[in-house]
Amino acid sequence: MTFRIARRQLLIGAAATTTMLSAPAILRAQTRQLTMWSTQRSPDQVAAYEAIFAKFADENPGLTVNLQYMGEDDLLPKLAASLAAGAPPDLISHMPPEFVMHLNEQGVLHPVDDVINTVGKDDFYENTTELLYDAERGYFPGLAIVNSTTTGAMWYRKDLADASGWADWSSMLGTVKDTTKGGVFGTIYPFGKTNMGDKLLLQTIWRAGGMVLNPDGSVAFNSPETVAAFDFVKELAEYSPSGSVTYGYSETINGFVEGRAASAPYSGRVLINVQQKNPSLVDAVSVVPYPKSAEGRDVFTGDFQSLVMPVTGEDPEAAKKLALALLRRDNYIHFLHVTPSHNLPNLKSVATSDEYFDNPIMTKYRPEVDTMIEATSKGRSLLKETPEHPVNPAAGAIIGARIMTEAVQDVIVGGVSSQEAVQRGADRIAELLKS
Amino acid sequence: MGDTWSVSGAKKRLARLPLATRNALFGLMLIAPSMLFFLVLVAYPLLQTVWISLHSMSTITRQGDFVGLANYASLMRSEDFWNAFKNSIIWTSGSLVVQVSLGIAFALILNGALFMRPVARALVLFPYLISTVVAVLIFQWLFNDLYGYLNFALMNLGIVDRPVNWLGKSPNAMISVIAVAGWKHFPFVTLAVLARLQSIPPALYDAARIDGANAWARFWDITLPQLKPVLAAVILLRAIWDFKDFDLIYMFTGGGPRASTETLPLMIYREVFPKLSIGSGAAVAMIMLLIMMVFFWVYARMIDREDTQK
Repeated sequence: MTFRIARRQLLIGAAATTTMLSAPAILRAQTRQLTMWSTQRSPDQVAAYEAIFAKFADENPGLTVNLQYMGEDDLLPKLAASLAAGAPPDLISHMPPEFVMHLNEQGVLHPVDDVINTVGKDDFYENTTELLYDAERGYFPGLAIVNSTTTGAMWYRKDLADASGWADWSSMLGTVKDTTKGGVFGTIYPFGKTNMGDKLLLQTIWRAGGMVLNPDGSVAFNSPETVAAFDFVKELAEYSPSGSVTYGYSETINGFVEGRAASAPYSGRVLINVQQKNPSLVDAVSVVPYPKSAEGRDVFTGDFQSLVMPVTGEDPEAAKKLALALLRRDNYIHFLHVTPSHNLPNLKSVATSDEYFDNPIMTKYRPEVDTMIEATSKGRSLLKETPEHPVNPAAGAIIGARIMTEAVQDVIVGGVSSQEAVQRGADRIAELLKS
Repeated sequence: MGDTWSVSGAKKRLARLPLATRNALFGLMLIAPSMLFFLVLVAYPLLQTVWISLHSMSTITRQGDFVGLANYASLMRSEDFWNAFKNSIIWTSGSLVVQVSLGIAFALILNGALFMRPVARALVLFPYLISTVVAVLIFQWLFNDLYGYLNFALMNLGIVDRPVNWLGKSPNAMISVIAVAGWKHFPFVTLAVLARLQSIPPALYDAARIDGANAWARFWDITLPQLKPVLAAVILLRAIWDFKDFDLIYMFTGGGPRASTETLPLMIYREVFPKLSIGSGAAVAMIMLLIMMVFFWVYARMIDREDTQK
């Protein structure tokens, strides 16, 4: 049997087949997938991100977003690997500001001035814009997407102690001693080699009146104030779970929410976790600013989790569009509301709006939220310890090397004197700054 | 036409070469693919690591200045390096002792008459098959100071009156992490030893029994000498693997408390990532390689000796 086909039919058939086979590639070429990394990965936050990105894709035909989650401690290793592989993300959200300026020194971040100016520079809190500005090169390598403090707020059990019990260091020591009983610890003071351990210790040094570096860049870690801070932490550690030497974010919040401690530092995430995991504590928790010594400075370690665009991203304009979408009022409030008061707004227009406070948890805990917002406004970073300090790009390396937490572990676990430990820490910081 | 001419010309030139040279060229052609793989997969990364270790270089940009041996000199002066080196030795030898002891003990049990022996032999592999991250999570929960089952059991039995700080104290943290590594890796030793035990002729034990040897004497004078070659190989391989182990310690203790469980691989990580100093990290890696070359040299000599004996 012979099968005949006209030449014209053959050509039409071939053209149709070619079109069908190449259709997926053509469609792929017309759709650009942006990759964004974030450290915020609770189920509610994931759902909020997905809803925001679906809206973004509808409003920007041809653009989709692939979201990848990772822990704060994994950001640098994964970024280094992705840069080496030539496939960095287009946008990274919730990066610690110390890492931002450290990366900016390496010249791998795109300025985000366009994004800041489109939103309105004055709408951002000044303590965040002064922190993330490269004065030498004249641009912003990142912007703080939120303005929170995980260590500035200290949660306490109202059924175990009054707010007055946490007024300063001396009353706090008395309260933690009194409340350590019946399987409950007076406090949780995490001093593991984690970001939280370093942030809380840095805050304790500041609240003792000390500093890590002087404004002229010399090391100030070995001051009597740091010694006082270490002595205070050593005393607190006696009323904190013995495993606090390994604790970071999750152990701290879980310990408090599960009712194993009378007090613990953490952000507003405590509120949603208490509702979901331990409703018996819903009316028993409140918050105070983390106590300070009589001689200390009234500052807290801010989180200033930032949004950055790696310079090697394929489509900076599309990345900027995505950044602006995340900061758009409706999307921004939607994301903040899924973990009420955990991430506090860095846009004044949002922070003061009724829309932002229109949330049952925020309404119920309005005094607590106000306390956290107040603490956040006093937030600083190791990048710029006081307004007089220039931005210190080595802050990320000092934190990453865990020099500070290792020094306090020397005292509590190693039995070294505070004087000796701070001196050793100071020497290691000086060595790191030299390299 | 020109191509044909040149190919045939090359053939003629080749034919004029002596047979020995042609054979050598043929041999080279045969080993060329292996050489290519070796150059791409081994030599290039190794030489690049050496080159990086001679620079003060950023992990992110891979750019920096040539500093010669300064990274090595700085490591030799560094207290952190010597602490990590000491920890690596403690960790490697501690893990080996636990793995080998448990491995031999289980192999002896599984070699004997045992109810449901095939099932037991399969089950003993479980720790080796489980992923490190799952093993770490299980043991972190067991060792937890607030909710850990281990502390709960010890307190219930009246052995301790307050929770033991397994991971937050020195030397508890190193002991705990060695115990977990021993549990995780002993099945490898069991497998190797069991295979050898099954090939020991039963006649040797029968003869020993007739001579009145007790169980210990039979183990010491028959089993152990028979196991020697396989144990030597297993110990060397495990020593190399444990010496460079990173994930288990990193996930379990992160090198703490203080730097009491920080081994050389963790130090490399700390240099390369948080400090973004890939040059000094590469220098630590090169020193580790030199140490492991000693292990390898012993292993190679052992294999060589076995071949000679055969």
